[in-house]
Amino acid sequence: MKRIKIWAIPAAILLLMLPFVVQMFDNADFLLRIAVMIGIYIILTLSLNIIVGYAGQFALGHAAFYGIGAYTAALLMVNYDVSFWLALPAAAIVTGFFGFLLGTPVMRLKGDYLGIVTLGFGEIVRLIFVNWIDLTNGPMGIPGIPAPSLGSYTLGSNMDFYYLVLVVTVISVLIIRRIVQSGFGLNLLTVREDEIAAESIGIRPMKYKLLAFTIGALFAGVAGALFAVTAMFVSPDSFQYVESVNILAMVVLGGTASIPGSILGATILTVAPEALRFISDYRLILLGLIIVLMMVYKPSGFWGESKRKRNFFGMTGR
Amino acid sequence: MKKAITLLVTASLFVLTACGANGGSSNGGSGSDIIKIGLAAPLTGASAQDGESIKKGAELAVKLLNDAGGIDGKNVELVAEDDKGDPKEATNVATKLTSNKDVLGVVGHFNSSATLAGAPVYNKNKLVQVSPGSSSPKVSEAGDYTFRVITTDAFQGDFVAQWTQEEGFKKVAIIYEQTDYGVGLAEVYQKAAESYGIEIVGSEAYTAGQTKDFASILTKIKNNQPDAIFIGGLYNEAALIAKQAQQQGLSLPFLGVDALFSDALINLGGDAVEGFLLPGFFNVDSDNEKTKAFVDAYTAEYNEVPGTYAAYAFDATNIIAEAIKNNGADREKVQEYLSTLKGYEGVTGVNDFDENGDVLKNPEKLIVQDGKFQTYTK
Repeated sequence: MKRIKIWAIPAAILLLMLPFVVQMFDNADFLLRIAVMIGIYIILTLSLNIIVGYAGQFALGHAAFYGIGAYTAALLMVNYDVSFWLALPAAAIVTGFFGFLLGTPVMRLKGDYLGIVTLGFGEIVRLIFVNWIDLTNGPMGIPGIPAPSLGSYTLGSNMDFYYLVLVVTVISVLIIRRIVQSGFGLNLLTVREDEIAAESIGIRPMKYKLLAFTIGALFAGVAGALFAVTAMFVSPDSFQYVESVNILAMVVLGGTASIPGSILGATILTVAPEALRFISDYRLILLGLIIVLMMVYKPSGFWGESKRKRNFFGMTGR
Repeated sequence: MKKAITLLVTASLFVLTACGANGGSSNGGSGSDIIKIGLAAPLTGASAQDGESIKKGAELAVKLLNDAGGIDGKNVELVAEDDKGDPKEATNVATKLTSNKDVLGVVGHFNSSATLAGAPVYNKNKLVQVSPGSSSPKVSEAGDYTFRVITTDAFQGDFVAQWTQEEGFKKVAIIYEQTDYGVGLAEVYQKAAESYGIEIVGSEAYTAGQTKDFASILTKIKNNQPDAIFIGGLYNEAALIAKQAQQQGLSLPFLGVDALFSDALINLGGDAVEGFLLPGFFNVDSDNEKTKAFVDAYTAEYNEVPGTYAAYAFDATNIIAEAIKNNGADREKVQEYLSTLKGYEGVTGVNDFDENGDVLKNPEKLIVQDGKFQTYTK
């Protein structure tokens, strides 16, 4: 922590005070709920960015990992009365394990082929949620997920959820930042740019791609667990194919292989559909149009990797 | 550095204003001249057609209320929100509606999964939700503030099972859609039918919206030689099943539930759906005065005949308005009124709420004959 950026302090104050700031609006709870969803999507977007942006693997089934995390946490908490503080890491580990399992056979595939396999994986997982009724309660979903408690205090209100998600999101962002800005991140980028060149200098592409998949899935599991406790209800409808596309859109629109990009992408694509509610039926059309225009005129996203100061671009310039 | 200081000052100013404003905002909007009723329905997405119908029904109810002078001289306003039929959106919409202090009751949601996802939010904030379309038995346990004007699948499944027995069918096959709705319905029907001594000779699922070819399902069922087929699904698939059964030369009586009660069934199925037996709560051609007035008003307003869900939404909106009228403009008082409501005459029948917030009302037995739904008499 040598160089704490000067803007970080007001930003931190603002984030910490946000629940009090929104109290002056009538719909404070709604605004906090959106803030909670932004936090969850930031984790999801960053986790997919490790796979798509840094490792360069075109994965289309991220909602599956998100769903596995949510269901793991929900089932543990509802059926076995496990505390949220245990269910959260458990969801992360289980999901990471699934990421590893999926990664092992599919790492030999590239590009479109990998996209199709991960797409299939996402669909299989959704169908398991729908059809394994004994475990997942099928399409009916799992209601009544208990609120996490901290000592004798129960985190039940949207403000509590906000702080919970804020803390987990900040920790996740910091961990992912450490990972991608380390030598490991540099190795990932090397693999992405040229696998043969990477191998020639002793970087095993298989190992790094597999690790990227596992880490990406692990954080998606964290996001899933957060979703489960803040929504108090999970059902397969929340983890459909469109959800994977939505997360991918956040990664690409924000800027691949960029942490500020992911944060921006997740924020904008979560806020926009809610902000556009006033035009009701047309909101999704307008949102689609914005994405299309964005990709045509600024394909590198809001905060592309050319802005990054470390790894590749910054290093060559200094 | 200068920039950073400016930022810091701005941020702290922002926070200060917030703290200042905080004190005055918590008294809510009870003094306003408008009574707001929320509407949460899938206005876009796969169920958009039903969502649109729900919105029209609720809008008509509000319009008629205002034409009659509103509630205690206050105008009623409908706050419509789109949940896309997606549970995640439903939580957002529920939060949005509950955080609007002027909203005294919500008509919604439509899809059972959306209702279940919204329920914790409504119950925590003590705002009544009255669903016009969620018939899943799970909704019964959703909470004290969750009501519905549609009977549960358990009720309908039992009703149709009893009817099956009255018709003298001994062996029945079930075809159901693989959704919360279809699975729940097939389950309760099977349980009820078996308790009436009917043998279930096969139970086949299809994927709603995707399965278009029912040949293999029908062939399997044909081999089991049932006396009748029960369909636990919606009208699109029911029409397809009937048509393909006809092509296969399988001429069996079909039984279904209220969800098939739509002109679309007849338009899509043609003569293949002749003889379909199903219960209906809202009959467009009913002689009931209230129903007639609703159908006339709806037709005049939108130039189309109201569907089942429009009627349910109309009733749900009126029941909330009734509660506000009789028990005061307060969220908890609305709940108090609804929890003891008995004998409210709506356009979909007489509504009594039980202790779970489920409505109890008897349907009419209907049959498709000569290309329309007619009251069934044995």
